[in-house]
Amino acid sequence: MIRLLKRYRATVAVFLGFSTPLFILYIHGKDQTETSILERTLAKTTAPFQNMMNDGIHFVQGVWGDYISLVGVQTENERLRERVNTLEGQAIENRRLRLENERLVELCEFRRTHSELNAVAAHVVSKDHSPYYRVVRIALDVGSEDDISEGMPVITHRGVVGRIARVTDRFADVMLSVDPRSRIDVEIAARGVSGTLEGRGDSNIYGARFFFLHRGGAIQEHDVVVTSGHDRVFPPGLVVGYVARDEERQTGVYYEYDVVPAVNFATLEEVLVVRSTRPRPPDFDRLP
Amino acid sequence: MQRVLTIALTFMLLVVASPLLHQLGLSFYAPDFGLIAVLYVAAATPLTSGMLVVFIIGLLKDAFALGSPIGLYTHIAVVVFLLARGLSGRMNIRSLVTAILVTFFASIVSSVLFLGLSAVFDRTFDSFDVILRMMLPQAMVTAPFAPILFALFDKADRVVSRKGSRTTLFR
Repeated sequence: MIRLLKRYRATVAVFLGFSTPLFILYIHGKDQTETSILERTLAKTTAPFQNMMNDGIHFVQGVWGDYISLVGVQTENERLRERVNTLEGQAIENRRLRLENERLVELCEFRRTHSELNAVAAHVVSKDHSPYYRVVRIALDVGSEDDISEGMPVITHRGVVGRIARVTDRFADVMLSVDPRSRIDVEIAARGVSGTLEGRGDSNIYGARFFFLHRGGAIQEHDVVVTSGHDRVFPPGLVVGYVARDEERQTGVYYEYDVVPAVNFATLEEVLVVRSTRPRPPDFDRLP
Repeated sequence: MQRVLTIALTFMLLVVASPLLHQLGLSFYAPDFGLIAVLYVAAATPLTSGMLVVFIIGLLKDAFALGSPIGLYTHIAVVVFLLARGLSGRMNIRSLVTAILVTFFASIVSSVLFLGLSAVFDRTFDSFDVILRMMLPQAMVTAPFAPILFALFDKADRVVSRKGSRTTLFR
């Protein structure tokens, strides 16, 4: 039998190879209600490898997808960063405009309440800084073309800034009230004391000293120092600064107090240059 | 060992091709690597052992093929193997041009067999128009891969047998 099989093994192989699949096909071609052993065996053989391959493909897809996503994220990130920069710029501009608006409103209100002042508004176009980042000189965008001349007071709604020191056609330099060359006749009305305010010219702080001859009432810290108008330069009643300390010094015949200016020179943007002062009509209501 | 390697390589190709082509959306026009393996076995293996190898390859194809009854691809593999074996006695089917041509026609035969066997044995089969429409594209997609896979199988055989084959592939 074995010899016979060996002799006709090719024929047997062809017969079996041809007929077996047909038999399997016949069995599995029927409407099956359950999975056959052969199907289960084949599924068990191939499924793990297919799963492995699917996992591998999904892994590669995931990595690739993430990479593409990251490229997208990076592009979006750059776009959003630009957008944030733009919006931040707009926010800063809006804030600047809001502050400018607030300052201008206050300045207009000041002009309305000081109708006796013939003043022209001006923008600060440059500021000279000291090595300690203090403003020591400012330049305005008004000049002789605007009837500005040297010595004219420069003020804001907060108080005295200084006076015009130099004028060109369209620009003017301002000598600040804290400049050592600056002299302003002032008074502390509440104490009945009048004297002169002189800039200290300190390198690291804004400061001035108020000196006077005759003592009046006791001067206190934070007392308001206002212009007296005696120098015929500054209109009377403008705030110049505040007494820094109730610490009196005596230099020769003069008594002296430190004064801090009312105006923050570092943040100055708009000022008024007083060209002339009209006499204020007497306020009869305030007469006794 | 050579036969086992041929089966293993075919199995790997089927494992890789099936999900990969599905992911790439090419499962409809997928090259039939199993058919090319059968042709290679027909040209390079004796009848008896070759019959066993293609039987297993056919079974593997049945395992990977979804929706068709088991035995369908096995029978097709056996028939194609026998036809290719008869042809390989008359001509060298492993050269570049003949490999492509034989694979092309073997694919057509495979599709016709698939159609016939399905009509006879598969009670639920009703995709005649799809098979007829896919017959030529399937053959055109499969045929160009024949020389590549023949070279791959040849290389694997030579690595296993550790001797250089005197049969050059592209004659």
